[in-house]
Amino acid sequence: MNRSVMTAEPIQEARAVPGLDFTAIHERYADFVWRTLQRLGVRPMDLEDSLQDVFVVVHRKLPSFDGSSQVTTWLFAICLRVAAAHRRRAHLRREQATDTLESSAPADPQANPERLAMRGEARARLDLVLDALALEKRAVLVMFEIEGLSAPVIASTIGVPVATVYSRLASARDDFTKALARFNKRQMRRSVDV
Amino acid sequence: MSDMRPWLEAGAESEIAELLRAGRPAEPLGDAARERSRRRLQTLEQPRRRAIRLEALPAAATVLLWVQHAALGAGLGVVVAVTAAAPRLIRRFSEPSAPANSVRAPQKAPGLAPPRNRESPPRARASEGSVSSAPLPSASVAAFPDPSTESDDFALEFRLLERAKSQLERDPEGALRTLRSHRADFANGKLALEREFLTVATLVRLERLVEARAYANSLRARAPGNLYDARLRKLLGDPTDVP
Repeated sequence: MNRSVMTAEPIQEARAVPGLDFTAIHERYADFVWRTLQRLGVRPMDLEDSLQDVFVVVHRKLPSFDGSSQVTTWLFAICLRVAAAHRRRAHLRREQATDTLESSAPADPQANPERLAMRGEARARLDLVLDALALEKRAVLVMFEIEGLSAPVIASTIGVPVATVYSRLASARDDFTKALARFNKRQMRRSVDV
Repeated sequence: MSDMRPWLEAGAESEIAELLRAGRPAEPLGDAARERSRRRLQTLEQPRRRAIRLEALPAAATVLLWVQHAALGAGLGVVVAVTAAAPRLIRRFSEPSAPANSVRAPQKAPGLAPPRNRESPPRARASEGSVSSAPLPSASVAAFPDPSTESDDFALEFRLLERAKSQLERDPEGALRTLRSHRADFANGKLALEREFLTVATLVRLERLVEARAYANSLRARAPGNLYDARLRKLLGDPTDVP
């Protein structure tokens, strides 16, 4: 994974701009919100609604946003709450992590179908294991391990010290390993039952 | 911990590595989704823009209200000032008619001439009392023009008779004195007939019926068929003319 390329993601100029209005925030940060919601596990089918939810909150809270923190930090906190609500609703609906971004991504025509199927299955498992993580940890893990963002960039994005990013990352790896073990155990129990 | 390397590089378990490799970076926001989001959010912005426009309204409304109240206050002030000044103005404009009335001035007893500003002359005070509850009809007196707008003589006459009327029930003797005073000052005054009628009524009240009838006959003789005829008959209890 080319980390230097990935750090060039549009998370730069995150400092609050005086007089920034709602339309400007939408224009500038809609993509950031969109990506953050995915990192926090919002399913593709719910992404547009969640994006709308985030900007409804932004619209309501913008007058009280004093610019003391970065806009991305503020938006990340809103995304966290919206994603948490989405996760609760998903659990209520007993949704399974079966709809991955595969649906929105163009399929590689030269890829081996069997390999594609295996990759799809692996992605579904990854989503299930990530769903077991706390949202903050999940976001750090996804940004660092999957998207290849550097710790300082992550720290700047979510508004925490770099050390916190590392400690969250270590904790997230731990939780991920345990969640994967639980998942495998469940799978084995099911296969034995069958 | 600052040298923390990605899990894949640090040698993750094969299964974990497989899962992480299957993961894909977050997809960027597509143009279509961005446009849809922009359109949906416009519905949020419209009420806010309207609200911003409406925020300016209270200030303008307050100024308008203030101007309106100021104008109303000024208008009321003008009305009050005009109302207060009206009697003085009317009196001033009615002064040119005074010489015509002053022809009768010699008839007045000396010393009875009221001052120009007669707000509280001794005679006038008596007229401030309530109208007598005497059985005499008051329509004729009440129908007189406002004494404040008439000449001084007429006002005096009017007040004297009003005083006599108010005395009629409780002090008929005093009423007679007042009527005599009127006769002395205004023998041929504008209200002479009213005075004669009140004299008859006072005499009736004093049960001096002979004198009352005499006065009544005198009044009828002086002004035959006058408006007091019916009232005199009623007062004296005469269904027909008194011989």
